[in-house]
Order: sequence, then structure tokens, then C-alpha cells
Amino acid sequence: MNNCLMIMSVRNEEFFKRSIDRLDISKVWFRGYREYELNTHVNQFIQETNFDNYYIVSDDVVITPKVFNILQEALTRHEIVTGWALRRQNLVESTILRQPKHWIHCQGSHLPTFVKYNNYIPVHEVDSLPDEFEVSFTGWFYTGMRRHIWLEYPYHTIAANQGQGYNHYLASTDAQWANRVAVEKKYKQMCIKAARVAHMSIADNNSTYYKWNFYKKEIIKEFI
Amino acid sequence: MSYSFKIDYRDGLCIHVHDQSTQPIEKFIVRVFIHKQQINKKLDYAYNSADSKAIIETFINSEEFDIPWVENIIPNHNHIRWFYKGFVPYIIEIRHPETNEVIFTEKFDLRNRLINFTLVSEDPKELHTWMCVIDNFRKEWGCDISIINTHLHQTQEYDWVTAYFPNNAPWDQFYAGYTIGRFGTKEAPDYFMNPDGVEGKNSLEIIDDILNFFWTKL
Repeated sequence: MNNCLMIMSVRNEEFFKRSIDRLDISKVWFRGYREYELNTHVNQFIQETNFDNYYIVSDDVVITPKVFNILQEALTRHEIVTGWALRRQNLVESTILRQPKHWIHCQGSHLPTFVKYNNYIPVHEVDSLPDEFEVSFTGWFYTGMRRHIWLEYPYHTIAANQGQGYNHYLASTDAQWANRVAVEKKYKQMCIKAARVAHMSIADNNSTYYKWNFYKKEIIKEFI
Repeated sequence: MSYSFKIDYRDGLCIHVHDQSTQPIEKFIVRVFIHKQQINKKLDYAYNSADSKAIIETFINSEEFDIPWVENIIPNHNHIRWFYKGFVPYIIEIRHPETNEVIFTEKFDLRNRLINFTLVSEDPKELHTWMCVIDNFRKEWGCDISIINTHLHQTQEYDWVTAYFPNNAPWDQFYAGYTIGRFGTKEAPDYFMNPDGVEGKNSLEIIDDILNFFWTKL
């Protein structure tokens, strides 16, 4: 299959570049864009290219070639596959959510957001799950799917602009997308248990390690 | 209830306590236990006929139990840090000060987590010894590894490492962290870093102490 990896990149971390360079797949880097700014670019890229499948990931997630090949094989059998990780290194929850739908409530005057933090599978319970299972959230942890599904359920965000204060974090494209697919039940989002990836992130508001660069925006295509 | 507790294993052990309710608890009782595994084993070098050497571990027997480590009272919106830096499988228990009810427990669990090792040496032989032990540690606990060391950051020779960083990199996005090296002086060893001192210790014994002293050896 002729697949492409779409990378949302604002951190420019060497360890991430190294992990990506080891993957035998065409890539496109969306550098310097906020999540909501990619609404146009991601969908336009998919419309203008003709790969069989497109993966999406952000640049704080590291995968090994061995694990990536597991996803590649699974994608020959399923229309949507995803890896999984810890939500953050210092949290107990994984990114695996199996409840049938997300709940939505309104926050502030106009922005709807998801109540999505209650039922994630704790990481120590993941071993008891089947090798492959349906989820209602993928988190963009190397989430790959057919081109026609991307066209039917395009990338889009909650926020139409940067918003104010905390609201600029509420793009939640992963939750938006996964919720639509889960509710309509037309396609199954399949999580592959062996496809655990490393989420290089902690929940700590005081950490200043990552330097996000939103100033130089560019789209770099590395096709094989 | 609106308690929140944060346990940070990145630099020793640090426990934060918060109660945001309108009538908050003024202080919390924090108890820390060590899940100990008493293993009789020995790490040693094994030499073959080609004069190369490998690390072997001889297992004799084991027994597991929990022992109390410390008990402290932490005022609301405060934290306390214990400075011992070696590997310890902690069990944290936080209790209500009036009812003595257990309101929070956490068991240190490395599985599927990212663990950082800062290696304080530029000697390739010593680094190789430590990396072999860290690889065993990774396999034993099912965790991912990041490494801070300038030499290894340049060579990147171990494929199983998730991320390399140069010395003094402010990398902090991991679950737990350990610093491997020789610290203090012969006259004044730093027992927070090298729990059994450094005098007469080879590379293997240095890392073996840091990873095993309170867990299996003591």
C-alpha cells in the first residue's frame, strides 16, 4: 500500500526527527501551525494527493520501526488503525477510550468542548485487553486510515480561531474527529495493542522544556 | 472532595497535596512504603575464549514484602521532597488527619513509562557497561528509556533508546529519573546518589547499587 505520514510539528526535537527518519514511508511535515490553523492545509493536502492511507501524528510521539510495521500490517486488514500511549508520563490513564460516544457540553459563551477525561483505560489494565479492539478515541497517536474516510470525515477543530486564554488549547481535532466516527458507527476505529508508542510529555504546567515555534510556517513533502 | 495529589519521581521523590474545597483539610498524613524484593543474586563479568566479556546475573532466591520508609505530615498546598535518588519501588499512602481514612494510594509502576538516565561519565567502556545494565532494566520493567550523556548523544549507538540528549539538557518529560556516576569524595561520599559509597567500586557495582540497593540488596 502507498501510505503517507502527516506530521504536526511545532517543537523541532531531534529525537522525534530521528524516529521519523527510520520509518519507510512518505511524509509531509506541517511545521509551525497551530492545530486549528491546519484545517485548510491537512484537508487540502489529502484532496490534492492520492495515497491509499494517511497517518497523522504530532511531534511528541515516538514510534519504533518495528511498531510502525505492526500498524502498517494492521492497516491492510482494517480501514482505521491507531497506536496508543500514556496520556502523559505522570498520569495513570492511557489514551484508550472505549465508551460508545463522547459527551459534549458547552464551556464559556460559545465554545463546545468534550468531557473526555473520565473513562480512559488505566495503563496497568491494557494488558488484559484483546490484541485488537474498537475505540472511540484515537488521539492522533499514529492514527492511519483510508483516503476516502479522510474525505468523508475531514480534519476539523472546535475553535475557528485562536480564542482567548485557555480557549486556544481547545482545538481538539482528535476528539472532534473520533466522536463523529464513533457516533455514526459507519467505520470502526481499531486500536492495536502491540502498537504502543512513547508519548514524550508530562502533565506539568511548570515545565518549560518544549519551545513551540509558531512563527515559521512551512509544509515539507518527503515522498518516497 | 476536591483533593488532588501529585507524585513526582523525576528527581528523588516529591509529593504535592492540594485540597481546593471551601473547607479544606489543613494537613495530610503521608506514608511511604518500599515494596522490597529480597533477592539473593550476583552480577558479574563472564569472559569467553575470544577474550570478550558479558554481564551475567546469577539468581539464588527471592522474597517480596512492603516495609515502611517514612511518615510525614504535609500542610495543604505544600509538598515534601525526599532526596534519595536511587531506584526504589515506592508505595504512597495519603490519609485523612482526623479519620485516618486512606484517601489516596499509588504504587510506583514503570511499565510502559519513559524512564530517564543521566550518565555522568565520558568513558566509553564504562558507558557501555551501564547501557547493558539499563537495557536489562528496560526489559525487566517493560519501560522506555531516554539518556542524557553527550558522548552517547553523539554516537546514538543503542537502537532501543527512545531519545538521547546532551549533558545539561533540561529534559524533564519523563516519569522517573536516575543519575548514574560517582559522586561526593572518598572522604565524604554522597549517599543520596551512591547508597553504598564509591570506594573500590567498579562500573558495574556503581550502577548496581543505584538500581538495586534499597530494592533488593539491603
